[in-house]
Amino acid sequence: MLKSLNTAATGMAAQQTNMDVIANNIANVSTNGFKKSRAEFEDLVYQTKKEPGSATGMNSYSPNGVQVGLGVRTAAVQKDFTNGNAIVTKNPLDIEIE
Amino acid sequence: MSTKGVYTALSGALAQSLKLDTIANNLANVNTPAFKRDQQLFNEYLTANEKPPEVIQVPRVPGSIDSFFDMQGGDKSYVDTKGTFTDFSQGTLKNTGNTLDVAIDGKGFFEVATSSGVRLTRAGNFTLDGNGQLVTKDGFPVLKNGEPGSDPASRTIKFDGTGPISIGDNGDVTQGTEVVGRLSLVDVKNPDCLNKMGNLLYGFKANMAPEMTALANPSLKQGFVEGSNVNIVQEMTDMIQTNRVFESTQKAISAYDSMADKLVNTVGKTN
Repeated sequence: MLKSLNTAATGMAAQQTNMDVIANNIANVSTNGFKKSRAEFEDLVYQTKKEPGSATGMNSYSPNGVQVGLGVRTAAVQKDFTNGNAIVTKNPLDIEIE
Repeated sequence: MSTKGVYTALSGALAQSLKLDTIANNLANVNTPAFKRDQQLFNEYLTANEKPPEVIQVPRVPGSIDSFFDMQGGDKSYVDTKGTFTDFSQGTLKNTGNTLDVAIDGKGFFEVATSSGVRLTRAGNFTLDGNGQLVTKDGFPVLKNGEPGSDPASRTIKFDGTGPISIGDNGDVTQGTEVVGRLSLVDVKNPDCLNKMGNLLYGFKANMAPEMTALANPSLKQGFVEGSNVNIVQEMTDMIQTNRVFESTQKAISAYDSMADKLVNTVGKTN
């Protein structure tokens, strides 16, 4: 019961990071040359409650085993380097890389 | 009259608690690329299973303490976890525009070299490390096709930055016009043999031999990542249901408790 609360909390922490990254993207919507980021997640380790193939009684066994995942974490914040829109400024010193 | 049924109710509560743990993990990974949801299955556990098969006989006499084994322990049954099953259905493909994001459309797994051997993954959100090697987000090198049985270290994919990287639908990796290799994609005929290792990697269970073949017709999508196959609404519904069943088993436990209370304090009163 308490484990599921912890697991759910890792999910909330991950989404919090996601929100932070998205908020920064939105805050920089008018920043010249800004490249958006994306938070990427991966699952945490799994706790094995029953080994696959272990006996569950005198004449029964568990072929699949029982595993419970422990949540999620942020694996990386990946930048997306695709080109932004070109804006005409009429300033001779403004240069855009294409 | 006995109150041993409280243990049956307790085993039910423990089972629901385990199920809730799994649902919480599915929900926490709702945004994890290529995450596959888990399900817990339960079965009835008879105490007779603890005895050798020859002890068990067909019932001949009405149930009593003496005929316990004749009842095959049916008067004492619990809920037991049967196994964890992973739902390997396809997740939704999401466009990212990143050239190193590759999603598998359909069957198959990428091969990844880790310090403990070759592992499988479906998460195609790759990146380049400091040496120009194609790696997962944990820095494990992604493997290309090679001679069967060849050293995984010889199958890593390396770029020198001389041209744009492109990954074709069939897994062909090219840099500019030069072909670097083909991503190794394997098809697992019995996905039950896969064991989740965390970090989106799959290992192999010790008790089952994996039936692996090279994927015949890979279908990859460059610039896409596969999302998780977790359906939030379904998980939420499962969570409510699990919670309700947990509550009912708790009710059963307190019913047994009040029965025991009556037995001790009312029935057993001497004066």
